[in-house]
Amino acid sequence: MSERVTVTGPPSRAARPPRRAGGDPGGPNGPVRALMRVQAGHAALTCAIVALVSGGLPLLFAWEPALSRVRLFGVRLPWLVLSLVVPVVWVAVARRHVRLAERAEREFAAMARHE
Amino acid sequence: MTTMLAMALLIASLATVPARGRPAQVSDLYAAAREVSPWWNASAISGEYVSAAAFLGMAGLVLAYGADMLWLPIGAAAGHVVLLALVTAPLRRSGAYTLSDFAEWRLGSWRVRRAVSTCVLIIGWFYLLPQFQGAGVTLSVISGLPVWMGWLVVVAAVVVLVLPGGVRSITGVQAVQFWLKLTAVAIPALVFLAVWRLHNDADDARPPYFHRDTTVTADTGAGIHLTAPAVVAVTGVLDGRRHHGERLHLAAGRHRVRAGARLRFPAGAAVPHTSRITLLRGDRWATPFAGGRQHPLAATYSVLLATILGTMGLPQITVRFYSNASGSSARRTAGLVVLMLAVFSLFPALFGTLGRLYTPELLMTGETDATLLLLPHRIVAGVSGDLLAALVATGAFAAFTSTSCGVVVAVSGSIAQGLGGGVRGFRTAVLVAVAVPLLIAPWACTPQSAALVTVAFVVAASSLCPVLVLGVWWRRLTPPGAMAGILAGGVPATAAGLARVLGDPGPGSGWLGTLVEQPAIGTVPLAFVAAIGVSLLSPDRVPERTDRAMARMHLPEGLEPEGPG
Repeated sequence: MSERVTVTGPPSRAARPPRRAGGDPGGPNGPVRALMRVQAGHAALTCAIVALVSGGLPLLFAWEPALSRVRLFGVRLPWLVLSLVVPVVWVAVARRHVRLAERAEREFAAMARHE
Repeated sequence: MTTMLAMALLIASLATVPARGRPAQVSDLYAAAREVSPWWNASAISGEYVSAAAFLGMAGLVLAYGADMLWLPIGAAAGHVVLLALVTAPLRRSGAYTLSDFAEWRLGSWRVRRAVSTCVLIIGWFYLLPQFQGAGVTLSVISGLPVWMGWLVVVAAVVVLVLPGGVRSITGVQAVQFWLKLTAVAIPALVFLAVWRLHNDADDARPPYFHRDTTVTADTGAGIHLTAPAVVAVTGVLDGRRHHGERLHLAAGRHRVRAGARLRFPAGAAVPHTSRITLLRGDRWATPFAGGRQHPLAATYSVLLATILGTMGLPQITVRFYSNASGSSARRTAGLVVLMLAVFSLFPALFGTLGRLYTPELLMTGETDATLLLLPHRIVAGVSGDLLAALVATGAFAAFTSTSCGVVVAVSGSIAQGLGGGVRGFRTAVLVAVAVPLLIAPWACTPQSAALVTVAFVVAASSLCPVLVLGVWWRRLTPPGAMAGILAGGVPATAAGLARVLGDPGPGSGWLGTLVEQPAIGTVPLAFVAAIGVSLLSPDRVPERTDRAMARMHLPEGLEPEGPG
């Protein structure tokens, strides 16, 4: 075999015969757009939660310095919140997103099979 | 004895690389085993991510700057949540191996591919530099060898590991090394907690002080600032005069030590600070936004923005998901990574606080990366301290090698095509990837590795994140738009990064200084606006393949459209 091989990965599965460009809204792209809307919704909500937590906490601690003087178990509140509570929140958010995204795909696949 | 033990453990950990013969095909160099399970791959990715900066650097930053640095681990984990939500599954389904491949596949433009590859290279260089620095600090702390030997050791290890086998040979190393690093961090933490029991006056309203008699050696000449007069035994050159161990009454204020000078401080003396680190009283150290920085809220938001959005642009992260068999498997892996990183988030705060109490002299030398390496001997006496120190040092070496390997492989994969492709192109790329940081290292001004790593994040967030996010979710992205985004964000971010690396990050002047130090809050919106704006202005350049690409990225496995019509 003397043909030159592109080495950035195994042969791409997109090397199929060309399809017609564009696509009408109601045609083969309609379901894709619907699924994308659902997934985009989940993604947007997850990112909004991340933004709220990581955007809100700095404001909270900057505006209420009294919070930094509160102690729990001998440790100041900001340290507890930022080292313990927030990581737990991230894990919960991630788990929720994975579940929702997979459910959306399952429902889509079930719908597609009924057509 | 510690050095030998650490070296032995390191060699043992390197031996976890599965023995492989020469790769049969070039594609072996890039394609990792396709049947990797989510847990195994998540371990490898987390191992990748817990680099020298996370492992050593964050604790050191907490030691120096206190509560303001707690946002870094938060941004790091949040970045993976955002990666999971926005990018992982569609990117995996696209079939693209590197970000350059994705850009070319999605937009059909070799120019955009070139721009993305350039960004990948720059990000890789910025990421590798602190790894080498961390290796240098580790080696010099545990063995007294000069820092540049550590640089050479890690470069040699990376080249030896990467040249023969590409991705395949390092997945195993990284997965095992994540658990090694976790052990190296968790066991000392438990031991310290048992010994220390959370008693601390680190957050009292007084400046940090030496809890016991401490001898500090200045590795490099530096200016130090004493807050209160102290009686110090000095050996070496201080303020231009040589001393031979006699005790001096040092007045408060600035003094100059030459390299090699040794100062012995009595217990209770205030810790002098290097000019790079602002003196913070304990209560201000422990309170967020009380550190006296200019525009602390804006700087914090900037760092958060960079770490949260930059994670998806780090080439070594996205490439690893290629090892998953499917988009949903990749998504699960991303979720597990969040879990593993969350566990790691606990430790910087703990070790930074312990460092404030037990290794405060690092405030004087500025080498805060050494915090975790010095703590075991300070807190636990005798052989147990030796063993703990060896464990930590091994974990540190593991951090440098695994992260450096991952970065080098990902970067080489992106640029190899431009260098001729094939096995030779890959190997040339590897050498290019390691040579530049190695050459710059002697001139790097900031000894704090975590600060340097954020530079890589800033460039990633400002140049590659917009292309990725818009490419995955927005149908109207055009090649000119992508180029505009990359340039508008990447150029200022790189410039600011170079200024940070090569220049002394002293207290900046007002807004400009804050922006140069943490540019993300300006460069990221700029990049998005440019990408969206230019795309809307060039609607005729929307690629024809967009609909196909969207279908392929977002439809679940087994439902992709086949064939024409």
